[in-house]
Order: sequence, then C-alpha cells, then structure tokens
Amino acid sequence: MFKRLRGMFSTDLSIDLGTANTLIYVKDRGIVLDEPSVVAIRQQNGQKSVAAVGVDAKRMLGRTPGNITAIRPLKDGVIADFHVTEKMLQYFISKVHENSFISPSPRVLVCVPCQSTQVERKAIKESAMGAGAREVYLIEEPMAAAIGAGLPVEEASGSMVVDIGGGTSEIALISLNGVVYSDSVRIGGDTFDESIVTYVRRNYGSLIGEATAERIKEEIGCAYPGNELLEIDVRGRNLAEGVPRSFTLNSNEILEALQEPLSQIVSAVKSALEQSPPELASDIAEKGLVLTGGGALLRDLDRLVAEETGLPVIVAEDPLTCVARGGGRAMEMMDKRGFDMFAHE
Amino acid sequence: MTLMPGPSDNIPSASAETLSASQLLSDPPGATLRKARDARKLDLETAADQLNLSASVVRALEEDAYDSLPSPTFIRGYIRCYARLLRLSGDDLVRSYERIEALNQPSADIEGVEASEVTSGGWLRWVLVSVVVGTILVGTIWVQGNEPASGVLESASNEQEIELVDQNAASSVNSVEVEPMVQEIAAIDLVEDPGLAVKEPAVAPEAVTTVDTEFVQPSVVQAPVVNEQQVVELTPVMVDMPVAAIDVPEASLAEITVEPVAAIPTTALSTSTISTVSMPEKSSITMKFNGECWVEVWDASGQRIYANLRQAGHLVSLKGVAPIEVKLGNGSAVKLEFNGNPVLFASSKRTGVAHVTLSPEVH
Repeated sequence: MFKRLRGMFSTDLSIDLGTANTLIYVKDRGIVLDEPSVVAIRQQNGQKSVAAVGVDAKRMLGRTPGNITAIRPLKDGVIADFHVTEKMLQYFISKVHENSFISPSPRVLVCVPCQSTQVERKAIKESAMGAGAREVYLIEEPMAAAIGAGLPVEEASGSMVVDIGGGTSEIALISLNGVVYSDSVRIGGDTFDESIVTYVRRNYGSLIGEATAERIKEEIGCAYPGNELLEIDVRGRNLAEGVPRSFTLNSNEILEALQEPLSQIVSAVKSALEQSPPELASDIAEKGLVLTGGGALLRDLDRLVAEETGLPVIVAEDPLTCVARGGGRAMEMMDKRGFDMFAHE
Repeated sequence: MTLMPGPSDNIPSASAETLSASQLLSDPPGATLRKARDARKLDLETAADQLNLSASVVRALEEDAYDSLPSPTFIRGYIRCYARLLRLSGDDLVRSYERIEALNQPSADIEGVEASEVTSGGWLRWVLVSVVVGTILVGTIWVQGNEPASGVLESASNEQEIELVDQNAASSVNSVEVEPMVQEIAAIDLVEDPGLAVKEPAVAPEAVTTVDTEFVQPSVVQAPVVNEQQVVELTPVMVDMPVAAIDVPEASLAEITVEPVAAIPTTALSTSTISTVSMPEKSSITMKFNGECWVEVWDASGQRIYANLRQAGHLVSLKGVAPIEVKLGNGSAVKLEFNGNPVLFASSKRTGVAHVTLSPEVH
C-alpha cells in the first residue's frame, strides 16, 4: 500500500544497465541519466562502503589508492557483483528522483541480454527490487533497441537489429513484437579497448590504460579504411624502460588492432542472416539492418557490415540511447495497449 | 575478413562542396542528392549498387517519394548513406527531410492525447498531495483546539465529587452538590482560574463552608487525572471546623486541608462536582531529604500520588490510604516517618533504591 503511494510520486524508469554505461530514460523527460557503470568501493576496518558512483568513480579507475577499488559490477552484460550493482542502481534511482520528497518506488524496466541465463535475469530483477523498485520488468536488449530505433516491430515484417554494447553484441530478427532469432556474442566496446591495449603493448612496447584506449577508439578508431588518416598522441608506460613515453597512433593502426573483434561481429551477423526464415530474410534484404548501441558509433562500422553482407546498413539515430529509449517506449505501449513483449525469467 | 576501399573512393571528386549548408536546408533532400549525383557524373544504378539498395529506392529518395519507402528510421539511414557516398552532410539532409515530414504529418491529435495524459497524471498527484496536507492541517488544528479544553472536559465527565463535611453543623449542612463551572459562589476564591467559580445553591449561608488548601505547589492540583506526573505537594494538614474533605479525582487520594475560611484556592477543584462521600482513614508520611533522591508514592488503590526529584533539605508530607508504597531512588538520603513514627528500611547496595510498603499494622 505504502509502496503504491510512494509509487505515485515516482516516475517509471527504463534502465539500460550496460556493462560500460547505465542510461535511464523517463517518459516526457528523455534520457535523464547517462553515467558509466562504475562503482568505487572504499574498504576501511574490514567494512566496505561506496565511495563514488558513475562519472566520479570512473575518474578513479586505475588511479585508486590501496583502500579504494573502482570496479565495474557488470561484466558481459550481466551482473558480476550483485551487491555493488544494487548499490549502484539505488544511487541512480535516487539521483533521478532528486527532487522527490518521498523516497522513490518506481516501476522499472531493465534491459537484459538475449542469451542471459535465468539466474542472471533473476539477479538483475532482484537487484532492481533491492534498489527500491516497486515492480521490475525485463526486456531483451535487441527488442528495446529496435523499438528505440523506430523499427516497425509490430508489423508482420522482419527487422534486423545489431546492438553493439560495451560487453556484448546482440543480433536479433524481430517480427510481430517478438524475437524470431537472436544471438549474442561477448564482444563489444570493451573488447575493442582491450584489443587496442594489446596492439599498443605488442607494437610499441608500452602499456596504456583502458581509459586511454577508449579515448583512442573514440577519436581515431574506425572499422573501414577511409580517405583521411587520423592521428593521436598517446602516453603510456614503456615496459622495457619502465618510464612514461609518448608516441603517435594513426587510424590505420587502430583499424588493424580492431580486426579480430570486428570480424567476430560480422560473422555473427552473417550467421543470423543464414538462419533467418526466407520471408524475413527477404524483408531484411530489401530494407537492410540497423546498428544500435555505443559500438555503432565506431567510424564506418556500417560500411564494413554493408560491404561484408551486401545489405543496406544504417546506423540508428542516437544509437547510444536506443535501448533505454526503446525500453521507455515499451512501457508506454504496455500501459496503453497491454503489450507483452517482456522477457521472462 | 577483407577490407575493401570504400565506394566513395572511386567517385570523382566533383563540386559537392559547392553545395552550401543553406542550399541543403532550403532544397528538398531528393533534389539535392540528384544534383550532387549528377555533379559527380554517377548514374542511378551505380549509386544504388554501391549503397546495396535497389534502384527504385534510390529513385524514390531522389524524388522525395517517401510513401513508397519503409519506416522513417530507414529513410533517414538511406539519406545518410547516400549523402556520405556523395560527400554531402548527412545531418543537414536529414534535417531537411524531417522538416518535410513534419509538414506532411498532422500529428496534433497524438500530441494532444499524450499531453492530456500527462496533465491528468500530474493533476491526480497534486490532488493527493493536497488531500494529505489538508488532513494533516485539520488534524493539527483539531488536536490544538482540544488540548486546553481537555482538562475541563475530563473533569466534568469524571463527575468528580467533593465531599463537604461539617462535623459540627452536620445537621445544618447536608450533602451539597455543586455543579462545576456553572455555578458561582463569591466565597470561593479560585487561585488559578478566577473566571471559574463554584456556587452552592440552596445552602444556608451559615452552612457554606470554605476550603483553604495550603499548597506548596499549587499547580500540581490542576488536573490530577489528566497527568499522572503531576505532583501534589502538601504541608501537614490542619483540619478545623467545619471539615471539608475534598476528594480530588480518584487518582489522588491525598488529603487536602480545609478551613472555614472565606477564600478558597481550589485551582482544579473548580472543575469538579462536589458531593458528599465518606472518606477512608488516611495515614501520613513524611520524608526528609539529606541528598538528591527521586521519590514515587502509591496509595492503596495503586494510584501514584506523588512522584518527584527532591534535593537535600526538602521536606515532603503526604497523606494517603494505607498500605502506601514508597520507592526511593537513593534510600540512604531519606528519613521516612509514617504516622509520626520513624521507619527503618534497607536500600539496595548496588543501586541504592529502596522499596518500602507502609501500613498501620506493620512498623
């Protein structure tokens, strides 16, 4: 009863609980929170407490003293640390309801990877409940991404969406509000970063952090050879000398570094196309497939997929927020038309 | 995986840059795309091949015939891809397309529905807030309004009776009932609430007895029933003629001295109904304090008749119906007398608390 009363003063939230970033979408307000899924834990006298969450915690990544650990509670799209995830969600929910004078108890929709197990889904659900949610709905990420991208998921026409997140890449064929085929590969933005770190270590003998690798990827990373060559100055610790050294990387080198994870994503897409029913394959061949997620922002990734599949490939508008927006839209559709497109435990 | 040069790499660089942003925004995207393709000397089929689209889709894009194309998401994507192939600004062309779509789509009805839903949700929420706040306000006002009157109401409802006994003139003074607060008598002087007076109707003037109660702490007598913590502190009682034993609400059996004096400081009694009842015999207790000590006293009815913290040098005399139970926080600091006889008692060695039960039979 009291939860329902509190619920009246809470807004429904659609949460894209990603490995790299957590986004929260609120109806009529849009994306209200976009913060890294990072929590800094302070350990004092055997007691653990949360030192920082989100942007503040991410700034601490790799720069923490002995008693503080900055961790990512999600790995490969699923919960790796239950309690820390709960604390993080609690922080984010209260941050969204900053102006509320009653502690919030919202309805929450959380996006889960297609291939997540029942245990993983239950963990996410209970984590959200523990963070103060009144009701928790789960939706598969590609479905939310497709809705967020504006694909006609309700129609009897196949739509293909490739959602490249931080930890996983989800590929799904959607028709009539349902997922016809889905696949998930544990390759995403984080894998791109790791590949860049490995490349730099191997070719320059220097060690760079994940944050630096991410910056390199964002600034000069590309998936297809272009006309212009971009360069970036990077500082890393030289492994042989043990002192920081500065060097320059160009976009072709990053392209080479990303070959391996990119080819795995392309293979997964091809595999999905091979397994799609002929009618849906024909729809996709006509309309093309849509890229969403932060990974879709990698320069010329659409050109690479188009080249490899021979299909029209488009990048959704604002791909980073597609899943969160789609989740919010799904909740609205559920309220209005009683849609059942949610994932079950 | 093999990487191939991009489709746009083979296209001769033409005067695409000459198309300014203003041109892109003013022209429909289809026309801009066709102009740019012509400028690059690229035929429609080649462009369609490089985009992995069918020629009909490319033609529809160039003719701004969006009805024959799939959902807007795809159209935006196609325009961006085509713009990139022709080295145009995809964002500008998409903005131009969205403007055309906005003009073509009368979406007022949908927006109206959504807006009304939002408003109704907000309205409901604020109604709830105002109801809650209103309830709290009304509750507060009600409680505040009741507080001062509660003593009066309670006294009146309790129908407390005060006994007036005139031992000498018993024949002339019969039982007298005095209605509280309604009646007025000049002889009775109210200490704390002069506005409230007690009148004894149908009583002979000589039979009117006045009550003089000597209060050490007059405030204590205000509303004995209402607050148990209130303390009646009395000096040794002197009973003169005629005696009026005032039976203060059953909570307090402490006897109050009465004298046939004109002025009555009857603070709390003013709100009590007076009637004649017989009094049980009462015993007196005297407590002399040598140090700080808290005291609690219960009479035979189990009512607490006294509770206070006393300091060294204080003297407390009480009367109550035996057996009387006395609890002292610091027993060694108190000398206790019961009906004028000293009482010896032991205190707890650990806490110093003494628990004494006094009755006329046991000394």
